[in-house]
Amino acid sequence: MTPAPRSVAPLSLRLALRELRGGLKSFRVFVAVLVLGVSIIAAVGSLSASLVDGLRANARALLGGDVEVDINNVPASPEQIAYFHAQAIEVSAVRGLRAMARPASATLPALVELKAVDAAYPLYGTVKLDPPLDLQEALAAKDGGGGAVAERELFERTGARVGDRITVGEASFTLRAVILEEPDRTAGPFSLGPRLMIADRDLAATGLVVLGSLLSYEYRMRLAAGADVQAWQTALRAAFPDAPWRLRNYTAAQPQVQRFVDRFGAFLILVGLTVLVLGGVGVANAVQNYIHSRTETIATLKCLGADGGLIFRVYFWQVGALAAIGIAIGLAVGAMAPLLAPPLIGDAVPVPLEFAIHPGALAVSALYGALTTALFALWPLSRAREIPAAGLFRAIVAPTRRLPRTPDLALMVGAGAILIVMAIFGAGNPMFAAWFIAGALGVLLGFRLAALAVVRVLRALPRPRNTMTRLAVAALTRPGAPTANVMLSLGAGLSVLVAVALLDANITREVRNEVPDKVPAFFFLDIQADQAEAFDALLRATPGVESSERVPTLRGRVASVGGVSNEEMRQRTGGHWWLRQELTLTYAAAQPDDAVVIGGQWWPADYAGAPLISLDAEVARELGIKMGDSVAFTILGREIAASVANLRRVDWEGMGLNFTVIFAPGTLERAPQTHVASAVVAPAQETPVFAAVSAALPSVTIIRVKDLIERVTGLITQIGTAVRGVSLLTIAAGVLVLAGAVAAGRRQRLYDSVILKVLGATRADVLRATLLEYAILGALTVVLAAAAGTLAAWSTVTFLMEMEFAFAFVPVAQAGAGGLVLVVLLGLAGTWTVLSQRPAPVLRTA
Amino acid sequence: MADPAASLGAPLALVRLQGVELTLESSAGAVNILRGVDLDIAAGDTVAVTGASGSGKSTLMAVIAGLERPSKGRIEVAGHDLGTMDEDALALFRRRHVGIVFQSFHLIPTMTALENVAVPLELAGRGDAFARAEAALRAAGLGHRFTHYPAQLSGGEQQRVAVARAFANEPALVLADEPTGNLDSTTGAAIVDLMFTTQARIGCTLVLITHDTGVARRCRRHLRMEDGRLAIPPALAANA
Repeated sequence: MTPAPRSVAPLSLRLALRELRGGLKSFRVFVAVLVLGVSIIAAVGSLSASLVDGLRANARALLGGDVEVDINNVPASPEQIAYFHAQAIEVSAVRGLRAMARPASATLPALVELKAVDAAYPLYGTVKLDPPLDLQEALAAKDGGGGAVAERELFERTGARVGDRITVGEASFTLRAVILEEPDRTAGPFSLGPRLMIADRDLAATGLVVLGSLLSYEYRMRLAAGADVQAWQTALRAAFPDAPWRLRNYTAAQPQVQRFVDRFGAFLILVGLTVLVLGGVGVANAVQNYIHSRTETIATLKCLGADGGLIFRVYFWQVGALAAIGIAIGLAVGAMAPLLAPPLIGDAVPVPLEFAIHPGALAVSALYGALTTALFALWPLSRAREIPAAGLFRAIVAPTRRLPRTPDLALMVGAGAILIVMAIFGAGNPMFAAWFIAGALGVLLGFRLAALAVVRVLRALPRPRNTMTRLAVAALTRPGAPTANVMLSLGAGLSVLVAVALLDANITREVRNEVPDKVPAFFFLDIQADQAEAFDALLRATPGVESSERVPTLRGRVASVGGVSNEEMRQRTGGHWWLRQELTLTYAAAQPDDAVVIGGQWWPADYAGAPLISLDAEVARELGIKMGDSVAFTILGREIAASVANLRRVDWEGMGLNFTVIFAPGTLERAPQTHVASAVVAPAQETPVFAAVSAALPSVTIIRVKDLIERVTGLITQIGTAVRGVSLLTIAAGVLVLAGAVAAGRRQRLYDSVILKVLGATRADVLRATLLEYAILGALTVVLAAAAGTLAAWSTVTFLMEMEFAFAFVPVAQAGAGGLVLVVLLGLAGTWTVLSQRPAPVLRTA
Repeated sequence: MADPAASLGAPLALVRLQGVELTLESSAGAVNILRGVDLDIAAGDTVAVTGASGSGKSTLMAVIAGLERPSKGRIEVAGHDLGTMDEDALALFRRRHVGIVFQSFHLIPTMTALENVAVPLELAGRGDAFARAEAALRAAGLGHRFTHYPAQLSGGEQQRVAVARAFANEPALVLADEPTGNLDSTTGAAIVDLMFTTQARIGCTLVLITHDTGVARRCRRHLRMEDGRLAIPPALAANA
């Protein structure tokens, strides 16, 4: 005789285990939703943690030293440099600027980010080259000239090869290697050109460094082992309190990368949470369907004396066990992310990703999964408690429609509250997270209400004449049909896709098509004052140049506004950009053509009084600057105070040469300055103009607007692709919910189709009715999603971006058609096997 | 209407119903299922309840089991006033005092025959649940079917398991709702034999709903439900 099973486990657990023998089929969607949501959160968390570890491990190499002193346009004074050398073990100086470089083999030069490094560079890390040379060896002077190394992009764009000569300004170098890895390459949003590196001693020969050139000077310090970098910085600040430099140390290296990781990570975690919550509808459906399928068992157990609490625990164990499985798989997938990500994210991160298990990130993901399960499973579980035992005796049992018991309700509310608190305070930006959650809840609630309203309207419509349509509508509106749930979960995902597509279309159109008719083809920077005449003459003489504009520029910082120091103003304004950075200033006698003065008067052309400025009205409004206020600027070490004579509206989108500050004549003319210019050129003549200017004035930096627009649209496309990928994840959650609903309804569908066949319907009839049912469901979902997505895109474009919104039919139609086909295909997939079923066996077991 | 048998002076009433009414709300309006039932059933008695479909037999059984709450009246079983008990207390009450056999067996499909029989014993917290379940199944002639699932058993075998389960905990009261309704006459007779044998062995009270007059005649008392009320069955004279 088989020995009777004995167990010391609690009865509820024993019963749960026996129940689980019935198969886990109905829990596939439940598990899949948790795997999807938890794996996203775990992957993002693990990836962020790996990145942060990588940044920390490589912090000194990323910064280039323990401390960096960064100054624009003017070098540190000999006294300051002496201080650096006295207080640090080693100092490395690096200079950076934009320049044109022309390989001997190329007909046209290319814009490069030129970096001149000294012999101590790099203090930390190594520059990896191909062929594998030592950097200093590669840059050394031999064969009658200095060496240079460049990023692969320069070789690709110009067709140059290692060994070729390359001319920068007035100097010529030998390209000795390709830069594979530059430890301190700052990962900005985009740079204008590839990196070209030369030795600092060779920079002078290029003739590019003159007073007024846009140069960055970076002094990197290696401190004694164990030195306190903060104390070192404090001492430096005390020694030179007025120095206009920016100080950074390795503990906060790459703050923008770190910020990006934090923000994007927080955003992706919220996406993962959205997937979990959208999929949570599927979790609730799965549990509800499961409990429904166990009604007889539950009633039987109750007849045998099981109380509600025991029933709750029996099914709680089961749901908990399955949730644990889903969460565990999700964690395993997510933990692998740092291993799988490098090929996907490529060069987007500046540090190698080290694989490690990050228990903190995984624990948070698991908690998110468990809380979501609790939030969505507790309601149906609580209802299991209420299933009446008398149901076994007769069918007239009213379905229990009341709220869960107070303790269960409290648990649900608690789980929801913890989820929200975790999401808000776990994200780097609580405000953003709070808005995101409020928005997501609003969208979910809106969708739910709209979906319920649609079902009601369908129910209230006059009965369709066509039998198949009647059957389809009946199937969508019968009690317990998952119509509203599917519309909610799939529709919400789809609406994100629609919104992203419309945003993408609007931004791209704004950048590509809405640029002014006479957009300049080129911007020219670093035109020296003594080259200005020659430059103008050259443009006049070159065919194809339709118009050009040239203005003098100087660099300056705001020293004070109305007597209030820059520092104080920054504190008051939350660090306004205009106060933070070095500004490009100009001066003009006549009012620029595109400037609209909205307050005050433009000065007379022959003005020669006290310093006056014309200020961008937007900046004035944001900082509370009024006409007549005094604004002081530090220009080349001198402080110049000027009164605000007028306020201008600046058309920043016009792509002209625009400035926030224009000085009146009589103040800046004699200061060292460079000129910038723009030129409108017939498209066919762009290359000859580029060639003519670069040949005659090799030190002038030429920015081709077409390239700039390409780079910007490229960036937008990249962001669009990334966000679209993210929205596909939310759609995946919706698809899972739909698949779950189709699978759960299969039994009912089988029965319906058999009865229809018994009554004389052909398989084609049943197929038609099903097709129609899912087509209606899909169409309703798509229409709702298109409306919600358009609304979201419209409000973002109109209010946030302050642009004119234009509806783009094609991307919306594409998203809609995709959604419709998806719904119909999934519906048909669930029906296909049902169609071939013969009626008799089904009727026997029904 | 009073049950004539009550006046026979049964010494100990295990079940006592006084003025029990049950009205259920349905979408088609209120349905009066029980319209004032008074009934005493003595401990150890065997009672058959017959009546047309819809006369309220099953509901009568449900209120006695505490599965359904009457709209009016008082129900006392084994000294417990069911009206004062909440759902969970009623579940505990059934666990201790009541066994039920259904027409459609209602075995738990995910449990083996042995586990199905053991459930009420486990619920009662008995350490020897499986040993007793084995004995009960053997007594039901299913010693070779311990590890079979309901789907692997014939209808007759399933009902034997259900009978073994109802009696396993030796309850004071066993309620059977048309236990042979889904079975052929030979199998049905065997099930009825099993029930009466077991009832006699443990001395419990058996209330049996049936359409089969042959089965009803094997009971000491015969009640008839008509439109929600108890009527004197014509056969009673013969029985009494």
